[in-house]
Parts: sequence; structure tokens; C-alpha cells
Amino acid sequence: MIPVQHYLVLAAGLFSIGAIGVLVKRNVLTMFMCIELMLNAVNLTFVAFSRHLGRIDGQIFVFFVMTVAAAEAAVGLAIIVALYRNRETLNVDEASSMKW
Amino acid sequence: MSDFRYLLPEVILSVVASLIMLLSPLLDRKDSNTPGILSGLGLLLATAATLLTWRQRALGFSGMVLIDGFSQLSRLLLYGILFCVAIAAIDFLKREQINFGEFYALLLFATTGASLMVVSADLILTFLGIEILSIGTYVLAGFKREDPRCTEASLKYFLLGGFSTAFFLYGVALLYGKTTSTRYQALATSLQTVPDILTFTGLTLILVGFGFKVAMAPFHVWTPDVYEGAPTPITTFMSTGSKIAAVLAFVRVFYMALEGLNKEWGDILWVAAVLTMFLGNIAALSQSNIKRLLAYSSIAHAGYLLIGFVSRSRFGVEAILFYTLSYALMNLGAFTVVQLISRQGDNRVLLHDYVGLGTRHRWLAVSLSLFLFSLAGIPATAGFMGKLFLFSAAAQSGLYWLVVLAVINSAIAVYYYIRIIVLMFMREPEAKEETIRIPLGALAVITVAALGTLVLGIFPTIFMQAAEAATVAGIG
Amino acid sequence: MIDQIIFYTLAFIIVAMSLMVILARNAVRSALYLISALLGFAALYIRLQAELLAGVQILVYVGGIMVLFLFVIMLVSVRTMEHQARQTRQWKAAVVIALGVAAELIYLIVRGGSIFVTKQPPDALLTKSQNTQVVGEALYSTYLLPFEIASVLLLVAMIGAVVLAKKKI
Repeated sequence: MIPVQHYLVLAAGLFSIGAIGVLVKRNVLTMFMCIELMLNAVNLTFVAFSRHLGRIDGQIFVFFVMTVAAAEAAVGLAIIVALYRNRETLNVDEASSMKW
Repeated sequence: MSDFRYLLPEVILSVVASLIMLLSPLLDRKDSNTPGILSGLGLLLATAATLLTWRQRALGFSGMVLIDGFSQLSRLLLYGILFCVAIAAIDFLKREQINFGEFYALLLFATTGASLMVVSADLILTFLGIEILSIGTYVLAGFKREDPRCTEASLKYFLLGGFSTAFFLYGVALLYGKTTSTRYQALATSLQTVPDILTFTGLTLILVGFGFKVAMAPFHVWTPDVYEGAPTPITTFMSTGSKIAAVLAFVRVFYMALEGLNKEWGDILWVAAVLTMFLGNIAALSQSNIKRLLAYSSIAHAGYLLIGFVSRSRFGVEAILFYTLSYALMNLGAFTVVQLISRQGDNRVLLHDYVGLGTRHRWLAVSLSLFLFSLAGIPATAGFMGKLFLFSAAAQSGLYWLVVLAVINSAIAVYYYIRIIVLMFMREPEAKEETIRIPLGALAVITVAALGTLVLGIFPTIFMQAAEAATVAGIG
Repeated sequence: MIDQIIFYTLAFIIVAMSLMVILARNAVRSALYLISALLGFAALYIRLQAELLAGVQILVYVGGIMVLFLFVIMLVSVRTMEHQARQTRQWKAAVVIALGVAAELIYLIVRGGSIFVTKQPPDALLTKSQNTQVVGEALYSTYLLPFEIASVLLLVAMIGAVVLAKKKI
């Protein structure tokens, strides 16, 4: 039996890897993937708590997070396609006519 | 199932939005007014539905929805603001040749999300509301698809929005683990004592999530770019509708669910309020684009609103409610004037373009001056009364330093607002320009905003009584 | 013992793959590493008695979202992205954040024991009947409203994606 805090620490680590990725990467697509990683870390936290507390709610929340992730992916990738059509670049720094 | 009657306004809004989507293929894409009028009607219907159930107080959907005086007043505020945004947008969309029904459908869906945020009594539902509002806004910000500035604004808003969502959710997850629930009531009963590290982390993460949405420093960096790049009606929407929805949900979460931790969040927000005010006001001093300037001004105003949170009293919440209404009125007015003066492609938004406006378009210049006076907090305007209430709430809670810093900030802010007025009235225009046609919708919005600003400034008790009743009903 | 071995192997794989997502230069590689990490998550969900979620994770994340990512990467052409500088001016901020998070992690580990009483978790709710059944019952009773709201959310996303990406609307 793995204690819950092991899962929590793993999730916290993955969440911070994702957060660092968003800040460090310059490619829009990779930044977006890092956000997905962060959301997955949150999901892991929910599932671990769900198991630890013996309550099903945590698993239900994960479904909603996944729905949101899918919705965000659809819209985000559409924005990226539109941007590429206008600019032909996916580098955040190059794509900045306004100051970031 | 019968619990859906509590959500009648939200159901109406999403049905009307779907109706617009169904109708829009049949309509003339170029100059049909139908989608705009339909969306206005939908908002009026939702308002009527709210008024019909005005005295309702109910906990529905196994404790996930709480309808009380506070949420009813919040709904009315949001629908009113969105009504103004929608009718002012009609002519803008035609001018920019993006008169698509989807615009209004997304606007109504975004309103549904905003409305859910203020009736929710569960963090997961609040989260879904935030997401509907945000996803709608991401798309609307990039609605002029061939304009690169617009798409970029949309992308920046999207990336930082998604980032903040993850933080918010992580906070929810940690609080769930601690309290086994995400209902506000259950959270309030569990989180009474001095928090451990896990609760504190959860609280901070939720604060970060809301901080992004209300443009609280240091999470405000996206605001000027997105406000500048987005189509002007959407800038209006973001600075009024979506910000106010976030503030109101913020009040509900922090006063209803996390009340027990108010020592902790009060301290964090004290620092955040001061930082937000200073960063917003100082950056606004050197702006040459009016949309950017108003963006920084809206950051500074978020800082003033945070003072109401730091007060941690009932009076503080009343002051927040009053301020959200007056802030919405003056921003609706100011941005609508900006929208009228701008030219196709959202050009002519530099301060330079406002030189001598007073001689060319006297009434536009006079009304813009009124809104700027109100934003600056000159007496006899809504902005002044709003600040007065916020600052006295802080003083009542003994936060004298905060009041002193806020007053200093108001003084700094006067400079950049008055500068625009000076440009408009004290300088001669350089070139003769054609007259501006003022469409009916925009005229109505400007008139309502101007009257509202004056009435609230002179007779503040009219709304203050409603705010007091709502606060007593919602926060207790 | 076998529990520990499985957990730590999976944890190691997920962390390594996640790190590779950031370290890879090429977006296609990042996407593939992320897919591997997501599969690892699914395996952990099975260990946590969330069998349905494990399946959905693979179907939705790997089968849906990540395939969409790969499509878009191909659509906007890999070549333009390959010669993009990886170095950024924000790395200092990133290092500070990394250190802050690391400190918090250590604190969590040290204090972790006192926050959570390590006990055999109550199995009643989770094993009484099939996982799918329990989830379904909760989703259609207590969580009916968020379930309906989620469908509105998907509708908004669908309209939005079409509005933004379709050539002519």
C-alpha cells in the first residue's frame, strides 16, 4: 500500500515541471502541452485523494477536468492555426507585435 | 430535475444562444440586425426571470447552487452590462465586416458561464462557469481572424488563462483532500482553525487563479496586450462583464467558503492590493494608446476593489458591490466612446487622435470627460462615491496605511485622466476630419452610462440599500 | 513490496517523460513524450482503483487530445518550428520558481506524515460494486448539474473552434 503523500509529492513534482515548461518554452504548442501536463498532475491529486478518502467525488472531478482539457485543446489549437495563417510563426517572441 | 427552475435565467440564455446559432445561416451575413436584437431580447428575458424570482432563496442540486439576494443582484448586474455590450457592438461588427451571429451566441454563452459563477456554491461548478466564460472570451478576443494583433491577443489570453486554470484546480484539489468536499458550506465548516501547510497552499493557488481573472498584480501582465489587441466591444466586455463576474465569484468563494481563513488571505491581499494599484497607475502614466491606458487603469481599479476584500467586513462587501456597478458604468461609457472614435481596423486609438476632439465632437468629448472624471474619482461622480465607500470600509477595519497608499494612488491617477481631457479641450485639432456618425445603440449606452455615473455620484443611497440587502442575504 | 516496485517504476517513467517534454527541441518529440507520460498516468489510475478513468484517460487524452496536437503540428509544418531558439530570457525566473517549488516539495515530504494519518483507506465505496457503476451513479445523480454544464462547455468550444479555424464563415 503506497501512502497518499507519495502520490501527492509525485503530482506536485509533475505540476511544477509543467509550470516551468510553460515559463521556459517559447513554442506555443509545447507551452500548451505543458499546461496539459499540469492538468494531469491535478487529476492525479484528485484520484489519489479519492482513493485515500474512499470517496468517489474525486474521480468525478477528473471527468470534468478532462472535459475542460478537451475543450481548451480544441479552442487553443484553433487559435494556433489562425495565428499561423496570419504570421507563419509559432515562436511567442517573434509573434509579438505588442510587447509581451 | 425540478431544481432547474432555480437556473431559469441561465437556461434562457443558453437556449437563446443556440437559437441564434440555428438562425444565423438563414440571415444576411452583412447587415442583419437580427442576432444582435435577439441577444438583447434574451438578456432582457433573463433579467425578467431573475426579477420574477427576486425573493427566492434556495439551495439546489445537492447543495451546488445557492440562490440568495447576493447572487440575484449579481445576475442583474451582469445581464445589464452584457445588454449594453451587445447593443453597442451591433454597429461595430458591421463596420469591421464581422457581423456574424456567432459573436452574439458566444457572448450569451459567456454570460451563462459568468452567471453560473455567481450562483454556484461548489468549487467545481464555479470552475466550469469560469471555463465557459473564458473559452467564450478567448474566441471573441480573436474574432477578427485576419487581424494578426487580434489573434495574438487571443493566444496570449488563452495561454495565460489555461495556466491560471491549472493553478485554480490544483488549489481545489488540495482543499478537497483536506475537507473531503468542494461545497462552500462544507468548506466553511471544515476550515475554521489555523491552516496547515496543505490548506494554505490550496488557498494561495485558488487566489492565483482568481488573481489572473481580475488582473491582480503580479498576474496582470496579460491585460494591456489583450485589451489592446481585442476588438473594442470585447475589450469592453472583458474589462466590465468578465472582470465583474470574477470579482463577484471571488467574493462568494472567499466570504462564504474560506471565511475561516480570512486572516491569511487578508494579509496576502493587502500586499496584492498595494502592488496592483501602484503597478497599474504608474504604467498608465506613460501610455500613448488609449486602449492600453484604460487597460492599466482597469488594473489599478482592480487594486481599489481588493481594498474591499482586505477590509473583511460586511461594509467592505457592500462597497465592492457599489464599486463594481460604478466601475462598470464608467468603463462601458469610456470604451464605447473609444469605439466610436476609432476607425475601421480598430485604428485611431492613440491619445494623439484625441487632440482637439472638444471642438469637433463636443458631446462625445464631454461624455468621455465625465467618464474620465469618474474614473479619476472627482466628487459628484459614481467613481468618487465608490472610492469613498471602499476607503471608509478599510478605515473602519483599521487599515489606515492601506487607505493612505490608496489615496496617493488616486492622486497619481488624476494626472493621466486629466491629461486626456486637456488634450481634447485645450488644444486645437491639427486637421479637419469628417463627422462621426453615432449609431443608436452606442448613443443609448453612452447616455445610460453617463446618467448612471451622475445619479450614483449624487444619490448613492439608491444602490447602496440594494447592496446592503444583498450582502446581508448572501454573506450574513 | 510489489506495490512499491510498480509505483516507483511508474513514477520514474512519468517524471522522466515529463522532463523530456520540456527538454526536447522538436514539438513532435515533445508530443510523443507527453503521450508516454499520459499512459503512465493511466497505469497509476488502475493502481488507485479508478479503472474507468484509466480507460477514459487513454481514449480522451491519448486518442483524442494528443492526436489533435499531432495533427496541428503537422498542419503548421514541422520545418518552421525546428530552427527555433530554445533559450529564453525567462530562464532565470524559471530557476527561481523551480527552487521555490522544490523547497515546498521537501516541506511536503517532511511534514506529510503529520498531515495525513497513513491508514488503510476505507474501501467500502470503491469496491462495493464495479467502478464504472459507482461513477455512473454519482454522475447522473449528485453531479447531474455539472454534467449538463459540461455539455454547454463543449458546445461553446465547438462553436469557437469552428469560428476561429474555418477558412470562410
